[in-house]
Order: sequence, then structure tokens, then C-alpha cells
Amino acid sequence: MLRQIINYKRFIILLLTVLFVAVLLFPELQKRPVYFLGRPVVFLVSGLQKGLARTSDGFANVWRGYINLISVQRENGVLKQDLARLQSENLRLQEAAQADERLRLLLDFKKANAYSMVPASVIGRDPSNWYRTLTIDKGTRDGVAIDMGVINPAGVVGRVIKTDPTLSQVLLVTDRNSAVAALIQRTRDEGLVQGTERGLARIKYLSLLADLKEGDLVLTSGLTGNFPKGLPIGTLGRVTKKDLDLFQQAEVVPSVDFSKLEEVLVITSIMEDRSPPAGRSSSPAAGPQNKK
Amino acid sequence: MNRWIYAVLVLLLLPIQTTWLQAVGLHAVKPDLALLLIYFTGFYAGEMKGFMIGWLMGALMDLFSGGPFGLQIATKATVGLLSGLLGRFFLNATGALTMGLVLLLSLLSGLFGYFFHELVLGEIPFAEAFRWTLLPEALYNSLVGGLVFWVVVRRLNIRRPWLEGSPFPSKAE
Repeated sequence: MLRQIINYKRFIILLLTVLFVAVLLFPELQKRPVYFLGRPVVFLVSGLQKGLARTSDGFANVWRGYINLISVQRENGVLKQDLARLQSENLRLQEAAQADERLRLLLDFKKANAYSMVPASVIGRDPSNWYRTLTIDKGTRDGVAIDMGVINPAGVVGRVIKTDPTLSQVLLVTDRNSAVAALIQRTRDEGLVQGTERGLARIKYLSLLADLKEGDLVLTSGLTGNFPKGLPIGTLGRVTKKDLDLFQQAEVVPSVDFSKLEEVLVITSIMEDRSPPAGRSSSPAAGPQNKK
Repeated sequence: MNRWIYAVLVLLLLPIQTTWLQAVGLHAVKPDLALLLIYFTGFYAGEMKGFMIGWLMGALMDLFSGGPFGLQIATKATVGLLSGLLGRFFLNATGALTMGLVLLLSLLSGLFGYFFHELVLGEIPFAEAFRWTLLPEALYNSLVGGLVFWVVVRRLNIRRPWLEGSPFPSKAE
């Protein structure tokens, strides 16, 4: 049996060798029969090849994607850092631009007014709810003294009540301990502006004959030494007029937004340099007093 | 608590009170962080520490406040002393108790302030002062006090070992 198999194998090997030689010797044979014999094999292999090629492409894509993902992740991290840095820088620049604008207004206001002033930044507020004060970063070293008036381009802020070499405390016009001599722009009636418990102000001691209307502008009268005449304090709100009272009073809506106050000007002297520079018209203080 | 922690808290609280707290003010009334520090110190560390922290905080506040020097010292030291004494009568501190005691002490300190101002300055209508300053401040302090209790005291599990051996009768005894 084994011998038969060996013989049979020998026969097959011999046959295959002869076929191989015949194919080599006769090129015509390479074209047709081999083609027909090889066709199903090629079809099968090419199918496998295509499948593998697709898988390979997919695998390559997954691999490339993974590699890309790592680099994208890294890049994303860098970009996020850049974005955060740029956002912070943008914010800082916006803040600087706003501060620049505020300081420019303050400088314009200072130039437009004849009295000498010291600019100061607000660095704190009163720790208690009983008083309405501000702490500013200028003190006696900068020429600030007690009772000096404090203003900003919008109007009257308050007056200095405590000083230190480097700091000062300003009592706001809305504090109930504050009193500023004032007049109504339209009627020229004089009164006293005091703060209220609600953080607003009211004007008192106005004549019963005064014809007051809501929205009338309230200005400093210049009778107290802290403020020059004609600085805006606010506008009239509700007017209270009782029959038996000797005077009438009215609420005053301050022209300064105290919650957003960042820079102020301390009036160190209202007697200095009385000659008004050109372009003084930008001051709201100029109008009413010149008309009088 | 370590004395350095007290020192840092005392020095840090005032700048926060005078700057950042403006942003959370309601109708120009802001919570009194100093009063809360003094309350928690008195309640959890005893009346003497409460008194001392109250005195220090009050002195600092007086320096930066528009009022006469000494008013905040008197008010805050009294709050520290009272919160310590109250702490002896309440063994189990809860959020509601904290809020209630802070409300009470805030109202007391506010009334003290009001009567002082009335005595010195006069002409302050009580209804107006109560409506616009005293009550909103007390309510705000009470809310923030409750928040501090739940966020800080509960989290850190702050206890009161000084109550052991106390000569005062406590609720548990």
C-alpha cells in the first residue's frame, strides 16, 4: 500500500515536472490553460486581497486617527491654553481701555475747571451698613485735608472726613450725616441736601413758595467752603409739601452712581487760578451760574 | 483654632468686607462677615476668645468706618461675649439654631448701633432705620451664617471641647 502511494506520488511529481517544463518550453500554453486554471484562484485571492486591503485601509485609518488624535489632543490643549491666555489678555486690555477712558474724562474735567484737584482711586467702602463712606488712595502727603470736597465728572461725591498720610475717607452725600448747601437750578431756591437711610438724598429747608418740579437739577450753592458753586448733585424726585410745615422738602436722585465709583477728584482749593481755560463749556457746572 | 488662623482671618476679612462684598449688597446692605466670624468664634471657642476677636475686629472696623472710634469695638466685643455665653446653653448646634442666633445677635447689635446714633446724632426715624438697615442686615447675616454653618462647620466637623467641664449647665446635662 505504502509502496503504491509512493509510486503514485512519484508519478504525480513526474507529471507536474513535465507540465512545468512543457509550460516553460511552449509559451502558448502559459496563456490559455493556465489562465483558465488560475482564474478561480486569482478570483479567490483577489477577493481576499480586496477584503484585506479594505481592512488594512480601515486599520490604517484607525491607527492614523489614533496617532492624529494624540496630536490633536495635544494641539487642543495648547490651543485651549492660548485661548484662555488671549481671553484673559483681552479682558485686561478691555479693562485698561475702560480705565483709560475714565481717566481721560477725569482729566478733561480737571482741565475744564479752574480749581485745583487731586485725582484719587477708590480702594474700599465702609465695612458697616451704618455709614456710607469710601476709602481713597490719597492722603495728607498728596495735599488732601479734612472737609475737602470730592467730585467726579458726574457731580458731587462727598467730603473728606478722615485723613491719613496715604489714605482718606470720604463721606458720601447719601450718608445721613452729610449736608451740602444746594440750590435748584431752575428756581434758584436754596436748601440743604442730606443723605437718607435708603442710600438716597433729600433736599430740605426749601421755601414753601418754591415751585418745585420732579426732574429739576440740584446744584451746589457754594455757601459751604467744600464745593464751588454750580456742581451737579442730582435731580429732584418726589416733592413733599405739607400745609403745617415751615418748609418743603424733596427727594434727590444723585447724579453720581456710587456703586460704580472707581476714580474721584478731591478739590484741594477752589480759590486757585480763577481764570477759566478755553473749552470750559464741557463742565456742567458752568451753565447755571453764568445765567444768574 | 490656631492663633495664626485667627490672625489671617481677622486681617483678611476687613479688606473683603470693604471691597468684594459691595458686589453682593442688596439695597446697599451687605452681610457683616466680621459679626459672623465673631459669632462662630464665640460659639465654638468660648466667650473669652469671642470677646477678644470681637474687640480686634471692632477696632479694625472702627479704623475704616465713618463712625466714631469705639462704637464697633463695643458692639462686636459684646457680640463675641454673648455668642460664647449662648453657646454654653446649646449643646447641639444646627443650621436653624445658627441662623436664629445670628439673626438675634445681628438685631441686638443693630439696635445698639441705632440707639447710639440716636443718642449722638438724633433725628433717625426708627421705622426707616429698622426697615432699610437693621432688618435686611440681620436677615442677610442669618442666611450667610446658615451657609457658613453648612459649608464650613459641618464639613470640618468643628466641635466644642471647651464645653466639657463647663461650670454652666448645658442642655444635655
